[in-house]
Amino acid sequence: MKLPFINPENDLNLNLAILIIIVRTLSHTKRQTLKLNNERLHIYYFLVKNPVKLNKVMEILGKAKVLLSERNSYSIASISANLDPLFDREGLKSLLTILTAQSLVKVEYKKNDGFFYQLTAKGYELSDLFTENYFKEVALNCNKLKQTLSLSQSSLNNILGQIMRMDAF
Amino acid sequence: MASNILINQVIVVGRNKNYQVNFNPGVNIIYGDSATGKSSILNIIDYLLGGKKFKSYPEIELAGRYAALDVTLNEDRYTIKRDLFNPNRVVEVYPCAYDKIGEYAATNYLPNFSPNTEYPEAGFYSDFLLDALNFSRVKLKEAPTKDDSKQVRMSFRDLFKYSYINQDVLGSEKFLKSDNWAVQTKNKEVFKYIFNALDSNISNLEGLISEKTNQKNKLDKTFKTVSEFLRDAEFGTLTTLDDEIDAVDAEILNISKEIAKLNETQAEDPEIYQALRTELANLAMERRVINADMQEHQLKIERFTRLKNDYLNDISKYKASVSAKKIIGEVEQEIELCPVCDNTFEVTVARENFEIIANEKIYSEINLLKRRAKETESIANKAKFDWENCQLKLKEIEAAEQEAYILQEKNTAVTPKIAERDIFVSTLGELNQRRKELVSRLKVRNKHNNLSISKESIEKSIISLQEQLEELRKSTPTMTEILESLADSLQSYLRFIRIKSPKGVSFDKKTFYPRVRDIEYSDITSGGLRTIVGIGYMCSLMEEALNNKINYPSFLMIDTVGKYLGKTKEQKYKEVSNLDADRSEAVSDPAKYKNIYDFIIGLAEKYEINNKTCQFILVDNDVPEHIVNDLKGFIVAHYNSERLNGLPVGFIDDADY
Repeated sequence: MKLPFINPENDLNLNLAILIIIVRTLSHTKRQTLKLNNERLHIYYFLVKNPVKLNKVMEILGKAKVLLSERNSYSIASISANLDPLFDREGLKSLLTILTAQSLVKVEYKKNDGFFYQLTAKGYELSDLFTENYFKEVALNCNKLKQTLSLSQSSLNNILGQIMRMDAF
Repeated sequence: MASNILINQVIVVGRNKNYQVNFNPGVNIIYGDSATGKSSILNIIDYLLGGKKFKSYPEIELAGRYAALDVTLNEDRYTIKRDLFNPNRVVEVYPCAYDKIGEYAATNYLPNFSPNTEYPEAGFYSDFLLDALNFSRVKLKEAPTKDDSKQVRMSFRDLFKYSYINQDVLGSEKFLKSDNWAVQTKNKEVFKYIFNALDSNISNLEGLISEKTNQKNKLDKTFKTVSEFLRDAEFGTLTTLDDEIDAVDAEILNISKEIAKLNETQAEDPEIYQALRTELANLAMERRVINADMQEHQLKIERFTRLKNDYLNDISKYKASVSAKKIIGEVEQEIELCPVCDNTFEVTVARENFEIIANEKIYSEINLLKRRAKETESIANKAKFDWENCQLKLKEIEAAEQEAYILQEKNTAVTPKIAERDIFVSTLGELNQRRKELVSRLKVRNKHNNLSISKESIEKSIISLQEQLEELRKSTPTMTEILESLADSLQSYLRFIRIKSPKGVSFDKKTFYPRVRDIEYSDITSGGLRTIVGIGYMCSLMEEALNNKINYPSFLMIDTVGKYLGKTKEQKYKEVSNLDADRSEAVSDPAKYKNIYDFIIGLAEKYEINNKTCQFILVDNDVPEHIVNDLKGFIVAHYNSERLNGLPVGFIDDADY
């Protein structure tokens, strides 16, 4: 269903670019262990787009926060985040479809842990070009999230759960 | 030392006020219309000196409560208090003047010789009076000629008969001569007693002296014991107590003044206080309104700032979107097969989950958002400006409030003042309590002090009694001598009055009654002459007391001097008196009337010259003008039933009945 006004959050290219940046930064650890499966990607995708929530995660983990501009910390979005994307697997799946079809993201299958995503050489080349301010912010957020790569999937879920409950109040 | 009674003041303490008459040594005249209470004054004196009962009249019954007599007996001053309506109540005697009775304790005496169970310790009032006047207490034989006769106690009342002639007996045939033979005999014995002519007189005196000495020793002992006790108890001497009471009084006065001052200032304060309260309430209300406004502004600022930020975020996202589009390029719409399975990548479907917005639209959106961001910013700024204004107003209110609070604090002086007042009031109570205590101590001290005074007076009286005894031992007067002397006095009196033929004047040897022209008093036909002789009889007693030591108090009260002398308007006297006899005696001659007064005044002067004290209280009706003018100085009370010339209507001058 199309709304009568446009919303940048729903812009295809923007979301593709965000996803490329996420995969570029968070696909593997320093030791080249692949980390980015569907669930983790989904969580990172949400957190990167909602830096206030991301800071809350860091707070719970006791890590340094992202320095947020007033623009980000003091907005309507910051006090009432749109949680719909967290439950929208279709959206993420279609984005990944496009990215793989464009040969920007490659998929590796691991037994037990399922599919892991990383950029192709073309994807890398492309990702260097995202120099717009907003992309820099996204890249910064992604860098912060690197610290969460060592966390298990379940503890990451747990932390997210805590944030959601916090919001409920 | 001659004995005397000197009345200083008669007071009837009433419900609304006190009624009083002051008396002087010498001659005192009370005169005015009939039924104005003249005779009542004498009645009250008589009653206070132990009279059986007081013939009350309606005014006194309405207004009076009790009567008091400020009297000097010999040299000691006493105040005697007695219930007007119950003659059997004890008589209270204070050893001081009337205005000081609050500081002294009273001694109670029984008004008659019947013992009272309520006051088993109380002495007889009659004995008190006799002692005070230094007269020996004696018992008189009922039958003087018999040696084994029963004896009766002589009371002060028996003696006082010779000091008070009331208006019914003056000039009447019954004066001096009682119908009762026993009373007649007793009167004769009393008469003898007065002139120390009783057989037992010397032994009586000796008895009195030894009794008084005993009394003195007893007092001495009591005084010492009490002195020691008071000293041990650190009771404070008379002077220190007096000083302390004065100091307490001064402090009470001071504190009362302070309280009055506080009361005055407090009367103003509530108004200021109220105004301040209203002002503060208004300020608080204003502050609430402004606070609400500020909250609204704050909310506005927040909302619009956040909105602006959202706009800015969106702008940056749109810009990023444009750039991403350029970098990623058109997403091709081809269908690709999966190399593993046979599924196809449906890019088209994927594209439908998102929007692909044309660049132009994005640019116009960016411009729109920029404009909106500006607008919201200006709204937020406006709100900020309003908020600042509110802040300024708030500061003004705070300043005003501060001022009000300072004012209130100055006035809150109100609360401390209330506390101050409480302190004062409680101190005042304490002081009053302390004063009461001191006064009661003073009473004890005065009572104690009085012991030494009575001791002194007893010593004095012992000395005088001893002198008297000495004299009696030298020469006991015989009744014949005494009667001769009295007859001389009476004759010179009658000559002074200028009655017709003052001859054959003598005193009957058996009855002791006066005789004029060899006619016994009771047989004189003219009432006027009887009056003149009656007064003369009393005056000769006074004269005898002036010249010799006799048991007579030099005190004489005569009710209605002008009786039967043609001055009175009352018809009833004329029925008793023989009018023809009166006419032939020319008793209504104003000169005779005046002469009586002159004689009495002359007698009082003789006392004064001899440095002795006497007192005459004379009551009369409407006295002729020329006499009034001459006697003005002696008048102590003058009543008029019509309240003419602003004169009081009577002794009790405010009773409405």
